[in-house]
Amino acid sequence: MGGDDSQPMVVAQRLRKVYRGATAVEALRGVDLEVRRGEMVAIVGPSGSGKTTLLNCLSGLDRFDGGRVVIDGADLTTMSDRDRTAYRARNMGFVFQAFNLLPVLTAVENTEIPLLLQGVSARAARRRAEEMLETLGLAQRARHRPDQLSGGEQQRVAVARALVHKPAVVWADEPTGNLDTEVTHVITELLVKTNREGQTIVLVTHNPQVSERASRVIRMRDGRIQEAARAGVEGAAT
Amino acid sequence: MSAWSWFVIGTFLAVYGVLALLALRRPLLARLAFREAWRGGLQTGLVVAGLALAGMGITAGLVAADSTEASVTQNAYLSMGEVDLTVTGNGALFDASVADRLAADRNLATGIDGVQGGLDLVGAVADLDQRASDTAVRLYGFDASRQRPFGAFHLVGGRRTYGDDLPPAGVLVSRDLADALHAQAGDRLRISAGASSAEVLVAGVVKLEGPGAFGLGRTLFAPLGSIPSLAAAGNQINVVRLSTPGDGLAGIAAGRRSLPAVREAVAGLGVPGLEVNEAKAAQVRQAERSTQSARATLVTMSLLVVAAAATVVVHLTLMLAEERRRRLGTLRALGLSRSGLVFLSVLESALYSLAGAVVGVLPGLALARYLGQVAAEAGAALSGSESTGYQLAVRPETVAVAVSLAAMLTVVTMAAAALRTARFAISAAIRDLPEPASKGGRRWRLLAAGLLAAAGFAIALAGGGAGRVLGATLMIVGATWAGRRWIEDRARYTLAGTLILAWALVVQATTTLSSEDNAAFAVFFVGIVVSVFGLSLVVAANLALVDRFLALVSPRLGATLRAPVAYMTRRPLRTGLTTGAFGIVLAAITVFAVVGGSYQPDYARDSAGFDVIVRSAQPAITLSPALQAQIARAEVIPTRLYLGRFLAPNSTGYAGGDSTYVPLYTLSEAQLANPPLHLSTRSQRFPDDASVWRAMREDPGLVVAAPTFVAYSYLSSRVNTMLHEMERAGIEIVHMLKDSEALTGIISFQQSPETLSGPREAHRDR
Repeated sequence: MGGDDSQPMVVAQRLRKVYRGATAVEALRGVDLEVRRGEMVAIVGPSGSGKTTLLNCLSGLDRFDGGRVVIDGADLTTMSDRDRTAYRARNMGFVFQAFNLLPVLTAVENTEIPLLLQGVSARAARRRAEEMLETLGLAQRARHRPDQLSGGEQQRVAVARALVHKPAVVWADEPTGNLDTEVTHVITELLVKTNREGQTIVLVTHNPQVSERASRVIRMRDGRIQEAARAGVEGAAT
Repeated sequence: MSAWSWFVIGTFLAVYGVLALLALRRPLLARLAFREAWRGGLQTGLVVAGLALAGMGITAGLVAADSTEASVTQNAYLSMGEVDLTVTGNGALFDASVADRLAADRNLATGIDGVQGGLDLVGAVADLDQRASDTAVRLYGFDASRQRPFGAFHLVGGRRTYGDDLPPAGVLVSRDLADALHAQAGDRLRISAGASSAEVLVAGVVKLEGPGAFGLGRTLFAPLGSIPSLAAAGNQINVVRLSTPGDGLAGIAAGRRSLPAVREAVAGLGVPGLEVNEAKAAQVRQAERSTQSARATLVTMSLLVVAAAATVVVHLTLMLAEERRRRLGTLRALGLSRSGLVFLSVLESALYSLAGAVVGVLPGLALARYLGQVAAEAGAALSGSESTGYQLAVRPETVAVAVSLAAMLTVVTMAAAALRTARFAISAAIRDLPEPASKGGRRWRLLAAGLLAAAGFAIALAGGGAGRVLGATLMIVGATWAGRRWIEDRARYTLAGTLILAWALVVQATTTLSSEDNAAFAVFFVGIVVSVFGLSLVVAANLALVDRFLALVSPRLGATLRAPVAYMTRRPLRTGLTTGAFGIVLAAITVFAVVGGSYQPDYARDSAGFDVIVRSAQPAITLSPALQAQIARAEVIPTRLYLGRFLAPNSTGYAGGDSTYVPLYTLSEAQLANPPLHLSTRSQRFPDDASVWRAMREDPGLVVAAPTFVAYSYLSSRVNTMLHEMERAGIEIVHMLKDSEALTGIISFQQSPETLSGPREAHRDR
């Protein structure tokens, strides 16, 4: 983190993505989008509208068939797989719907993964991971494996893992999709709090309880951005 | 330790050392690999058990080979007893005083324990009381007054003797000879060797111990005084046996140290033609050499198990990768590179492989023990001699090599599979969705398929029959891979499997089993693996038919099994691999069971119509008129027994030695014109059997070998090979006899080859 504050954190231009199978499906049809630093953007829309595909293409998890993606000034389009992977490790955090914690590792070990992948020393990584869990109220659960944690606790560990290395952007795909209302509220507030501390967050959600807390809502349909909600927001719609 | 062992163990240590270093540098991956490997007790156990197949196969092959070598070598030591050096005239007789003068030589007093004059002959022995005879008996004449340094004979019944207390004309017989003749103590025996004969009495039956183990078969032990007529003028010998301090290797080393002194002493005798031999060392060397082919065979057979194990390994890797796809996708999303993912898989597989290789050692040893015992019993039955047992030799070096090989085999296989499993769409893996179709990689796929096909073409051109099977298979696989875009999966896999199967069967069917080299075995080995996989692919690709059939027979059963069948149908290659792994093991078992169970010799054909073989020590036999009337056809085949230097090439060099016994059968011109023997393998330069026999009439350097003799002695001697040292120019095996039961040895025209022993006759009557 820490680029030019006047520059947008995420820029997507004419983004196209086609799924090839028996018949080709155009999941993204020339999406243009900008996310500013410190924004919390919620992407909403019906199933099959292309929200998750957009998130995956923006975060470099998926290749796209046309257009351009720039994250914090770095053009993902021109990066090799290796460079993109390294870039993800340094500058991105992920929160998934199914938590995606590694079952063989404890909460603190899961949390320190991004740090270790960046080459941070084991001792420093452990210290920072413990601090992060403490911040999220999970200090007592640090030595527990995922199967010993509740769904809410698992997702909080996942959030800790996404934030521990201070990424430029956190991508969250249905972060509350597997949680009940009460825990959804906890996780949403956690994301909002993090966003208020300056963390850029882009999330996909079906849940209005989550999207209404975002600083901007982008509505998608049929692979296109239909509208950008919230007054004064400049999200481009195509 | 051999250079090969150093190489294997060194490579293993280097590979695991590098992995350990990398693991230290990447603690996250090390932790993940370790935790994943030991996560599930049952799952871990199953994976290790699957991988242990490779360890078991390799351990069994190597240990069985070691044990065979140890057993044969042990037999060589047993056979030579305390005799370390010999002085011979290459079969010629010389004066017995040579032994006395060597025994009196003060220069030999320190290095030599015992010196004994003796006779080493091959002859025929008839038990006159039991009316039974054997035409191929080793005759061990010894100087009883000098027997003590060479040990006592252990008689059945517990008595021991040095031979000096035997009654006049008393001799000892080995248990094998006693069994063959039904001989008992007190029986009268007639011994015939060369042109001489002697009549003796059985004084006892000796056990296979001490000097009584000489020859390890049908042997007659006679004090020189009891068989004066066999020693020409009565005071002649053809061998001086020398014993040095120490047993086994120590005895051989002592013999080597004493060799110069003995040579000097022999040279000082002034008797021409005498030579000093490191007899025990040569015997042991020959034993070790003779097991090289057995080692190659055992290791090759174990490769069948290893081939099955490799497919299990590939399948396990794919299965583990599939099970963990979501986790691997998460790691990739969080920033683990593809190479990091491969390293993670390799690290985990290294742990599994090492555990599997170690676990495979024990069942491997058990299998080696079983195989060895079966082989030893079969060998004893084949040679008709007392089994000397099977010594399971477990050398730490061999176990280390087996563990290293098995571990590296599985690591390399899993690493290769991991290269494939590390390629996936991260977004799909994270959510455990099916892998989306990819437009990328088509060019690479075509290139790789082309390279595979080209490699197959090169192998087919260069590799003989086995190469044609393997090469064509690779070409078919390459074409199948390349055609992914144009032909539907089921049709593609069915076509590929059918082509692979058909080609393997055609090549196997058109390969002559007894050709002039070992190609047939290689074709069989490669063919069985390839055809099993071809068939497995066809079956796996068409499992949908099972689904339809079940739905017709029982809709409920069809519905129940639809999911597993669909899963297998969706991944025909993987299902084919799994089926193939079990198929190979089943195929191997089936082959052995069918070959063993269906062996039915055609006696009428193989015996060329003869019913009775009479072996006689006499130049001719007289039959009663009543018996004569029942004989429709009779052939007389003179037999000469060769004992001396003999070398035969085999796949590992030369077999044979200084004192090799070879029966030689000579056919007359009339018999060559109308051969009484059925033939099998033929040198390709002869269009038919008759031309072989004609060629033998014209060229005395050509012979036919009996396969039992060749298999028993040398395992891999074959047609078109030269036998050396039997005569000046050598003789060439041009044919193998089909009738291995009837004769054991070499058949030649009467003009060839000159031997040292006089003629003996074998009669074949009908």
